[in-house]
Amino acid sequence: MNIVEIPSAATVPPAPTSGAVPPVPASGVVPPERVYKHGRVPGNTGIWVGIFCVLVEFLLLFGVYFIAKAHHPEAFLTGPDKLATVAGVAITLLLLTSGYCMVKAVEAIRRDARRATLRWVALAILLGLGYPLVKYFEIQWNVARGIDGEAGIFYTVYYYLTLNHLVHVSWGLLGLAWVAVRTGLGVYSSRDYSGLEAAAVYWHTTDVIWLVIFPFFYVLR
Amino acid sequence: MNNIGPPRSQELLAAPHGGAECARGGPARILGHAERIWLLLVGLTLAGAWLAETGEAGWPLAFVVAGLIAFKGRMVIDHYMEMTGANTRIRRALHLFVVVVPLLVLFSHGWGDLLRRLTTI
Repeated sequence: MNIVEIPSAATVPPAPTSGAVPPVPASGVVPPERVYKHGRVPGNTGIWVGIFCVLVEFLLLFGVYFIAKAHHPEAFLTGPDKLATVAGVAITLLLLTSGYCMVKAVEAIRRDARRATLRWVALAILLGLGYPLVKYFEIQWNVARGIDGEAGIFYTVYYYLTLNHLVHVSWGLLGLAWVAVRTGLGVYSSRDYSGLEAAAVYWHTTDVIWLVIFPFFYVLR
Repeated sequence: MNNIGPPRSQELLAAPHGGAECARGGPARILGHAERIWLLLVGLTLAGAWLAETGEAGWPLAFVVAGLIAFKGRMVIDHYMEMTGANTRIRRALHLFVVVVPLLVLFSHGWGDLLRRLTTI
């Protein structure tokens, strides 16, 4: 990643900035800024390494889905009929709404509204926790109807992909819990909220991946 | 030096999530940008649920599913993740993800036999 050093020895009034830019010292002299040549990086660069690892991982898993579907088209034609569509829809709505809450949390911290930020993050966590709950009841419903990991290739791939996604959502929830604590401690402000934004973009990534998984198993035939 | 460096907080308030109409002296909207995107995504999800219950296997369903993945993914990337004005490399890579996957949906639907032959050991 190219970093452009912008020399700035002039005295300027402190300007609110975001991300990983160092704060303006009390002297008002702005140190050389470390900004990225290709534009702003939401959150921080570290989270994007993780996000792209996750995206590549899921691309490979989607490859497994497509190959399995090509070899067993009849199983993938009838497989979705036995799954509870309402569970997939509920998970989608929970993740989309939880993601919306994180958008509002980032908006709030940009106004230095810390209590509102904490409330939005807490609501995002609460809604996010609905996902494992729905998944638990969905698996119970499936197993009661004989749909377990050995019920056929479609269901093997379904469990493999959806439970893998659940693992990544769990990490996201842990990240959100961490930023909730730090928001409560007053760590974030309109000048530096890169940690909060990093958790938000990871959380949205789990959204994007689920938006692919949902039609694969509940809609597409 | 265009498009270099982090935006100021005031710029971020102004875009892309809205809330800036009032700040600019413009008319306030009942629903902000984030709310409208959320409603759109929820509506498309419910449309997908309806398709799940009524859709017949075939090219139309494959095209609709590929379109839904591409459009909803792009909405989340551009508006929730705020990629419209972000690092070009990250933005392009994310956009590529929601282009490649729908293309794979269409490829696997139309050329499943070819994919099977290519992946048979």
